[in-house]
Amino acid sequence: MQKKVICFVLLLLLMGGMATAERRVYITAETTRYLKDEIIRFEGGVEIRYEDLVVTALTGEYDSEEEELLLKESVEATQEKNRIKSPEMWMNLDEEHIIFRGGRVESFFYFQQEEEGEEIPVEMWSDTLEIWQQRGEMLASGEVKAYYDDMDMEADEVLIEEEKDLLTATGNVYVLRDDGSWFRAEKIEYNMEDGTFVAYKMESEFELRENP
Amino acid sequence: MTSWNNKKWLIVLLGIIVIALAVGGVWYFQSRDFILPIGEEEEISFHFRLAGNEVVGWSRGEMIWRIKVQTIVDPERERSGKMGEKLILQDIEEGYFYRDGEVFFTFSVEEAHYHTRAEDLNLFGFRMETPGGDWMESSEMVYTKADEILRSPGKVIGRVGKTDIEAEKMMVLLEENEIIFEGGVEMIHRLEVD
Repeated sequence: MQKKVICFVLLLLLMGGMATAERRVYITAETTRYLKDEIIRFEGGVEIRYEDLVVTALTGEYDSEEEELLLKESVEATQEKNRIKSPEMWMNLDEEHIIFRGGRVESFFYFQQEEEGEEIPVEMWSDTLEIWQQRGEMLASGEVKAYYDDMDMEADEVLIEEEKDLLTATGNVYVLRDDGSWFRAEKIEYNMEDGTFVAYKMESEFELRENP
Repeated sequence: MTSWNNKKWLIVLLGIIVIALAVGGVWYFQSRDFILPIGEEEEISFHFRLAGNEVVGWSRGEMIWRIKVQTIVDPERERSGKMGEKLILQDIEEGYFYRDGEVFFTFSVEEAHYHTRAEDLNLFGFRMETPGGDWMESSEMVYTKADEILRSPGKVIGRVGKTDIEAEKMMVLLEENEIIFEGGVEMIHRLEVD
């Protein structure tokens, strides 16, 4: 089953767009303060819109000298059907580096089957979700849990490398499928292009069925 | 003895009358001009001083604002002959607000009202510009000396850096070096082309 990640990293598109095209970012808030040292603080009903991406939060702060944006309290980033919810979002615009943090980060996105064109929803929880636009990488860490298609997965860390179509889960990896089979491993590498995976130090339990 | 006492009282009385006439005369001649003489120095109040064609507002020994003006009208003098609590500044060429001894921003206004008692300033048809090219417009801005705040009681529009801003209100906290936009703040930030 060939599958490919689409729209997983909501803000990657934002950052990519910011670097290559003339665009406008719309920001609304109840109060905006221009403080000393090039700091801009947003308070109350903060909403940042960029094309079809919308990020909302209760408060925010932008350091224009360091080019760092910090959004706090009920942060939610949505783009079409994709969504990331987090207590905090930190972003360095120059380095194109984003971190969702401050508590449990909830991500809801889609894998798309290339052949069938079907979209399969993925839900994921982690303590932090870190995105590097320039490297095309995303790292979820801290009690990562993901529900995808017919399997639930748990791991200490999940790294997605878009260019390699590779998902690597490391540390106490546990995969449970709908049919009851499961396996544990120290590490798995899941090829998102062809749906195959390699597991390291694997322990498994599954039911053998007789051929009818 | 009685005659001498009467003369003494008469002299005192005449002295009082002469002093009263002198004070009254000075007051009378001053109060006839309700347009203040531009180009001459005059201490209107401790913190407000005319020098050349400029009026300057001070606070704690520091210059806060300066306005180049052609006409200053005192409506109260026109009515009652007494110096009024409100002076109207007209034909204003340019104004400046200062921060730490340097120009914070320049501004143009259609008219300004200076309140001599509170030392506040109302600026009508206000447009400010910073040396860096930022600008802001509002139909009125009010500077209150007591809290060192410049406020727009109504809508304000402008540009800061590459960002257009629109808000229901704006406050410039001159002491804290802080600008606050309030009420449905809308910003449009233009991103650079790579």
